[in-house]
Amino acid sequence: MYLDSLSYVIDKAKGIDTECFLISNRRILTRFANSYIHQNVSVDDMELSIRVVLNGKNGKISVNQLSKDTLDSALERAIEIAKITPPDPDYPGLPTPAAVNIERQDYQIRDIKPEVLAQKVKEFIDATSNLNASGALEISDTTIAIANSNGIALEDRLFTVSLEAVVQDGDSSGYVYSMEKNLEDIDFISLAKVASDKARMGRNPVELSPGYYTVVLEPQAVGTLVSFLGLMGFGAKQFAEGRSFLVGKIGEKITSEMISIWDYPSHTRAIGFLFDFEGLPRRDVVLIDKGVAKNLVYDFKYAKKMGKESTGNGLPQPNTDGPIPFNLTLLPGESSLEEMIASTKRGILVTRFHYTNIVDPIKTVITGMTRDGTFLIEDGEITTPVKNMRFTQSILEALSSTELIGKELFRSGEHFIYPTLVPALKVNNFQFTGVTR
Amino acid sequence: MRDIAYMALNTALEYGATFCEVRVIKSRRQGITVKNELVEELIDRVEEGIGIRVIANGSWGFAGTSFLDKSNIIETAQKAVKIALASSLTKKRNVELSTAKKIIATWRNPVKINPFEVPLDKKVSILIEATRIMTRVKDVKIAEGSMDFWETEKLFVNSEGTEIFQHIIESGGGISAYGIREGDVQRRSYPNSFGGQYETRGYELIEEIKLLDNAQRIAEEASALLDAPECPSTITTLILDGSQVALQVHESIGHPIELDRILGMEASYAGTSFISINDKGRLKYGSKIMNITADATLPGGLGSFGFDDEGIPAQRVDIVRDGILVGFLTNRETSYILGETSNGTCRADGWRNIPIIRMTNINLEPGTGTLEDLIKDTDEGIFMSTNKSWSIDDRRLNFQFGLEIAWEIKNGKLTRILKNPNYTGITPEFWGSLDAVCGSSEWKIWGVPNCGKGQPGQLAHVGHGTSPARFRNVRVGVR
Repeated sequence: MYLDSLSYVIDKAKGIDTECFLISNRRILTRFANSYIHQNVSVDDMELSIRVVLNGKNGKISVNQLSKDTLDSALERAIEIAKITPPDPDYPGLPTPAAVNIERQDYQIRDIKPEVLAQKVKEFIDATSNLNASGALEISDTTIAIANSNGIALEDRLFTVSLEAVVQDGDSSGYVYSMEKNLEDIDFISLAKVASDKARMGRNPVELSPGYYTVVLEPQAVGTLVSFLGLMGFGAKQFAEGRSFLVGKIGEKITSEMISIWDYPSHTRAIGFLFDFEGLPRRDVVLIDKGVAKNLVYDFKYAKKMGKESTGNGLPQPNTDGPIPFNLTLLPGESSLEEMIASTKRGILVTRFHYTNIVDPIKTVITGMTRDGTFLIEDGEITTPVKNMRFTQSILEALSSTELIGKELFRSGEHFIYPTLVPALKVNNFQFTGVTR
Repeated sequence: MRDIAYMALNTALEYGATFCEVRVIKSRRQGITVKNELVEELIDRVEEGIGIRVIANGSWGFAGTSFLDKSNIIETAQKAVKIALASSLTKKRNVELSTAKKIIATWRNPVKINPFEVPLDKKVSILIEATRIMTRVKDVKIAEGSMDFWETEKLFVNSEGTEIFQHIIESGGGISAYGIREGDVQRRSYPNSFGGQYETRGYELIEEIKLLDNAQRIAEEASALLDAPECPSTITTLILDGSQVALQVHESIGHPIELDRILGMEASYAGTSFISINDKGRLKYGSKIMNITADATLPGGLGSFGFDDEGIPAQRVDIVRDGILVGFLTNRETSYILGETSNGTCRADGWRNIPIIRMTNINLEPGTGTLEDLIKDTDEGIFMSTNKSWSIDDRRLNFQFGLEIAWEIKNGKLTRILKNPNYTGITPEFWGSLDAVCGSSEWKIWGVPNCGKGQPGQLAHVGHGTSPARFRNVRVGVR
């Protein structure tokens, strides 16, 4: 439905390299705290970017109205800007159409009424049995359209439902996250029970000394590690600039051979658009195969610059970040969470991490806190809730010290483009550097 | 703008809202990023939209749209009411707002040079030249420079008769040099990291910060860091530069004093606060020389404005006095719970978001003396400058910050450079160890343009007036 507006601009700019990118979103978010809905919003939004390139010189304007007057003046302004910016000597031209091979995903796009969402939230709150429930239930219905003067003209739509919730019981809390393609796929009552049980288990936590521990990381905690790893080095631009942990490491063993990480848009549980933000098809890329660093991800510019094909990882051009993985997936193993706990003599169970940040991107060191359920494991059993702890840890070292990998994949709440798919992990020698009060 | 605003307001009231506020916003943003003499990103975004917040049946609802024809405005206003009615399915009590004066006003921040009237090629050429200077220095492989400008026209009306128009221009800019050698990457930035310095001012800010005059120095520091030893792991006296004190204030004071967070309204996202509502007047936040204010009236501060997004005038309030917590950041809903009126800190990220409690300019009030005096007065310790990373727990107690550069202090003098400095602590203990704050000559309002909060995520522009400060017995060099 939006391609007409994009074609209008492309036709109007005939003879000039022109690219139009449109994103339109309806977002409904019902937020609750202290077991009632305290914020409840619905927003219809749209943005169209017009990019022209004159002899390698970029001009770009974004607007959120689609009248012909707005489009005409935006195009004129983009051309004016292009005339006065210096040329990019590495300008690769605009991409040409390429076949999209991934099958369309099974979204059921619907106009869900606010009272339906409120009822679902009520179900969740009621199922927490008088504990303190907070969270957000979100419907996101997003369309992107991209067209360029080389003939790319694509439109795709993504519909997701997500629930993120924290249930508190005095000094403890539990957490759940679920993102699905349909509202009916979220089991609100079961999720409420998971978060409530964990909150009850966590009461009266004790302080544990910092140090090196064996950890059993639930999928949400693993999601943080994998998502941050994705930011620190798989992109071709970071690699070319010498800022990637993979510089000099391609072909080398960088983690345990149990670890394989893909950018995996064709995975049956992957969520995302079928093409990237340049209009090129998303492709599966093996990033780490059985512990060995294999490949980078590329956008059109860096593919051309480095003699490769685009992997469909382009962000809207031009940008400072370069290509990054969109659908990070840590391939599953064979263990259950219960087996990981049962095999642990002394260790810590981590539900998830909080407020993580990069300390050293080359050594892949990050720091953050545990949150919403941290427990001591002794002789194969969860024995004692512990106060939240600060970790300062190299991700690659953690993935080198991995002993067991979970057999089931979960979508992680911590992600940067599309949800990361991760299993639970059992990791030895994980470093905690502090404890909170 | 007025026609649209009142159409939405009247529709919502006719449809059953008992309270309604509307913001119609037109905004423009220009962002320029240059890397190694090439324009790497150029953002020029113009947008408009409307946000309608209502109370119906005692609960909140909000709807916004960028589609501004009459039928969409009416539909969106009605939707806001429907959403409020849906919210009331779980309500425990009716939302009540503290009283607010009816205001008819216009406010504009003072601007000497409108940044949107400065030719783009002039801005680009400064950044190109700055990156050229930096990349000439040994081992500096990446040099970046950026400028950002925002212009916002905002009309606020509510069902209590308030009508406020504000026109705000903000500017920011900075440069960074990356020394890269054999698997080591070291960054130095000026005047601050993550984009530089930001203020509610015009292009005069860019002229004052003199990016070209500082490019050589920071590039040489980035290069020197590659040969520097690691910051030792120890417990020592720590002096922080003003920009890092600003971030320390932001994370360990600014967020914990937000009353919505204290009341659990942010629990599912960034968490709660170690402060309870009963701590006002009692909690020892830090040492006796610690005085914190929230001041939205400071000229040029990135957290300055005329009125917040509930129509409450900008204010200066005490938060910590002589080390004791004496105030919170409040809005109309939370101040009602305290039996007070709002202190005007409720702001929304554009038209598409609801207003929530946000920092204004949260300041560590100045002490005495200069940074030079403070270093002279320190026998042994470490001076750290310019933030590189930050992390704090979900109650805002345990924090860890990484910085770009540090210098060892020996016998009152800065000696060798140290790389990868960081420090960690627990909020009240850390502020309890504060024993010196530099004076007004070192005091500056640092702008933070990317303060994240809320679901859907909102970014706020906030400020922190700070000067360098000294803390005793701090754990540094966490590895």
